[in-house]
Amino acid sequence: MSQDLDKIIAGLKYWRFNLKNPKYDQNFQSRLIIQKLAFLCQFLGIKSRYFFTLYKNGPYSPDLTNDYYEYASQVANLDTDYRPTKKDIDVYDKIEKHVLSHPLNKDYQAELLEAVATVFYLKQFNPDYIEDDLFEKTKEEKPFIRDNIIIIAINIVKELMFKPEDLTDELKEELDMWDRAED
Amino acid sequence: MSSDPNNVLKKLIEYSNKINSKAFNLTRFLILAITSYIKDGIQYRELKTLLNISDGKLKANIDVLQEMGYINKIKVQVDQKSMHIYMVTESGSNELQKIIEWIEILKKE
Repeated sequence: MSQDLDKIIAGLKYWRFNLKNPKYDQNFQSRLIIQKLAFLCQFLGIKSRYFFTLYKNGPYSPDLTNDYYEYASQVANLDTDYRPTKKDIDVYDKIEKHVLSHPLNKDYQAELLEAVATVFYLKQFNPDYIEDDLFEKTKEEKPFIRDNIIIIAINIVKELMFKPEDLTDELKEELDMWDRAED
Repeated sequence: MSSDPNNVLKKLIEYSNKINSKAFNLTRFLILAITSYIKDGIQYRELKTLLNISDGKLKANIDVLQEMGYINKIKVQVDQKSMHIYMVTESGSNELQKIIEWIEILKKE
């Protein structure tokens, strides 16, 4: 089995997922979840050879699909010997904190993951997009995702993409000002 | 040396007999190609967005492909809601392959 798939299984294990075997036609949600989480892992820094495209139903990787069909039982049983690195765990934690622990994840997991992955992809390849652009483009690609979920996804993506080095002295000062005002 | 154009035409005509002409309109060809590429299965609403055609046209073409056994309609649960996905069958993949090979006759010659 490729280490690329192993890293994803390790993530699913870390998040204590209980996925149904992706090989069976009716287990569509399992396949959708693996695709979107694998995409987020890769774009947050866990390297893999999977190539994702967005167009309408993405982010989607046909190579990843081939892998989880071939090793379907390992995916369903979360069977892996891969030991996540510190960097992997940081990424798993980030996804858990901002996406999987979100209240909407309980009942709208597929829709939320689809929205977050789509917004993330759009922002990654179009860094100049502002929130209005992200909303409009996501709606164009996925008209069936509800407006409120897209808005929440945009906020989640901002948190996922935030890097501590982005916190400039100027921003810190502004935040401190707000903190003081709250006191 | 260039190929004999009559021979190419002969091949084109002969090979076309292997193709199911009912599968060969743009919408049906695209549905076969999309479901072959997206092996996970594709939802009706995604197909509609991709093809940008009316519900009537999409439904009619899906029905023909289903009747011919080229795609399957499968009931799935997404976020506790029932919906359908479409997946290509083995005979659908074979038919698509025949169409591609037929077009490649022109490319090769």
